[in-house]
Amino acid sequence: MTAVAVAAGARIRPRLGPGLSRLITYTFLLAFVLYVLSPFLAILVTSVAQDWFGGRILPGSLTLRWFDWAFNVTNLPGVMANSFIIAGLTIAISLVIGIPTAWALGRRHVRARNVLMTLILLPKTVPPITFALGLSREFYSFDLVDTHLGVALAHTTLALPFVVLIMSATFAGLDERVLEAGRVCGGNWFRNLVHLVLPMAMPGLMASVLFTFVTSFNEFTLTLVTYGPDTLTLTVQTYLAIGDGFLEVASAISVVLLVPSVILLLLIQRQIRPENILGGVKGL
Amino acid sequence: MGAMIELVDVVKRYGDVVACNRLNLAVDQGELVTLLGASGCGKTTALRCITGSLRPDGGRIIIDGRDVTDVPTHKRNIGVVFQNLALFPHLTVVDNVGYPLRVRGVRSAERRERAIEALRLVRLDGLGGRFPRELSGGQQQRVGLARAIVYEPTVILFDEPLSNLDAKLRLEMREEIASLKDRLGFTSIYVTHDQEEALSLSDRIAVMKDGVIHQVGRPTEIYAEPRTSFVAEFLGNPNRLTGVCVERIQDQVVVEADGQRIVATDASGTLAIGDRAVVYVRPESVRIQDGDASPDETTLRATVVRSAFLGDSTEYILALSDKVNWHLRLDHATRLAVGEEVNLAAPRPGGRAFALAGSPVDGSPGVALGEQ
Repeated sequence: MTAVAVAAGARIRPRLGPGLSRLITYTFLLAFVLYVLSPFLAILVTSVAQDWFGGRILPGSLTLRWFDWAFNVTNLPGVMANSFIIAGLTIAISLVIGIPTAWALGRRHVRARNVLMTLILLPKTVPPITFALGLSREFYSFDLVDTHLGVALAHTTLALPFVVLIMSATFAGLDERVLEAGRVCGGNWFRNLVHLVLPMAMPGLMASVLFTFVTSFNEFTLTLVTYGPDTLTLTVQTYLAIGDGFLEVASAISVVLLVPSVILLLLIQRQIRPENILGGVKGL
Repeated sequence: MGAMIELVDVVKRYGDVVACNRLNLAVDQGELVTLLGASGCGKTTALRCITGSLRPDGGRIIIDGRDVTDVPTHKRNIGVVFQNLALFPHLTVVDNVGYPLRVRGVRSAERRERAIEALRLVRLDGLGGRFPRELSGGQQQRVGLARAIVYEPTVILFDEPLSNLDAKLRLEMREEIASLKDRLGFTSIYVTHDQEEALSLSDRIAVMKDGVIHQVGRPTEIYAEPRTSFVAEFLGNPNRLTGVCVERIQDQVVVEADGQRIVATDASGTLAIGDRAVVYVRPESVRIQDGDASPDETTLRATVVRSAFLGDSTEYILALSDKVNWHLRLDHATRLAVGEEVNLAAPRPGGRAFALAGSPVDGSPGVALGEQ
């Protein structure tokens, strides 16, 4: 045996050249990326494609007609408005319920904390359609179906766990001694809340708002059982367009639907960290 | 001048534990009084009762003539310098210091001006625009100091402000606090477990143990004339001799242990002949005797056991008997060899004697205070 072979064997290196091993690695990576991105690619291309039939690899020509259809035939602006209104309501309701709950869970000694946490997480862990079924029966009896509030309440059941989890961790992380310093400095509870607690909890609040927004904006199952003509959202409209056989229009709506998620992804990429949002909060 | 801060029979319990047991203390205008004690002695609890973070179970707290026992923290007009700094992480240094003014409705221009002035007082000029995390530990503590003095509160409370700093910085900040106090004349209560800090900074010291104030007095008084064995033991690093009271001469007693005799002041005035007693002797009051003892000294025999070179001096461990080791610091003019027998000259009185729990004589070492 040569010395080289012994050295190679000692490091248990695969018996492939470095070039080949790299090639295999990149092939797998590329396959994975294609697998993840191809549906998006398909939607993007479909949304602007014309004359794309019969085994053609690329469409014959490009058009914005489907977007035009989406906007005019399916009343996309109105549907978008619904999505935004419902998302906004969901954010408001989730924060109003979630923040006090999170404060109690994060900063007070709460009995049966685990039971509470499990209950809060329940809507996220059971099959959505099961939950949706029960929810729709309730909502019919309360006349909440086809109201913005009703759809938002349905979405809240999914968004609330996010808010409670994020905010209770945020509140638990607040330094009680810093809050005490605020009181000693002469701040009453309201001033300390506005000047100290809110700014220090801002990263958590921002994250809660973003996740709640995306949860509501992208929600489908619960929307399907609570929507009506006046509360069509982008997801449901996409679904209906597919059902009507307008694949191109559905794709165009989907592209619009994707925008907030992409923005969120970019934000996460830039790392939502306290110091990035507040301009400096380490040093605790 | 009346008292600025007064604790009257303050009691605070945690379940069965009495953290503060009928504390009485009056701090005069411009005075700095230290609550000194080991951790768990109740000093921090007492401080938190004064800030209003804790409500005492009994007694009153009076600040500047006003009973504040039931007044919420933010209306007490006090400044606190915290051990952990407790700066507001999201605010710049100027805004941190200006916060007490902000909540008092001072307008932003004046706020800024006064904050910058306070920062100048703690020698942090020019750092106002930074965030706390961008400052060193010592600088952060100065910000805490500036925040406590900026609104000229009635009293400033110090909660172990230096214990998180390294030794050198601690000394520097001690100087800083002393000089600020001289210039601004604030009234303060200072909580610490560091006796050197207490001795050097305080006008008066209250030594605490188990929720009780053992003694209040000027640093020199506390050091020279401890009233309880705990105070004697806690301050300085005294040498101990445990024995039996064999003679009484007015307010002094002679205590004998293993054939060695020392004259001591009877601190409590209750020692009777035959009582077991412990004598605390300040190392610096004893000298190596090279010749005959003078009439106002007593001689003790000792053997050098060990020596440790400390740079500016050398510390010797001297055995007075099998059980009793004393330590003594000597300058380099005197050199002792290990194993050498020396005579120690202790003045009359050479220390303070206290009755030992577990009297009378039964030949066993003291219950509370055995020898090292």
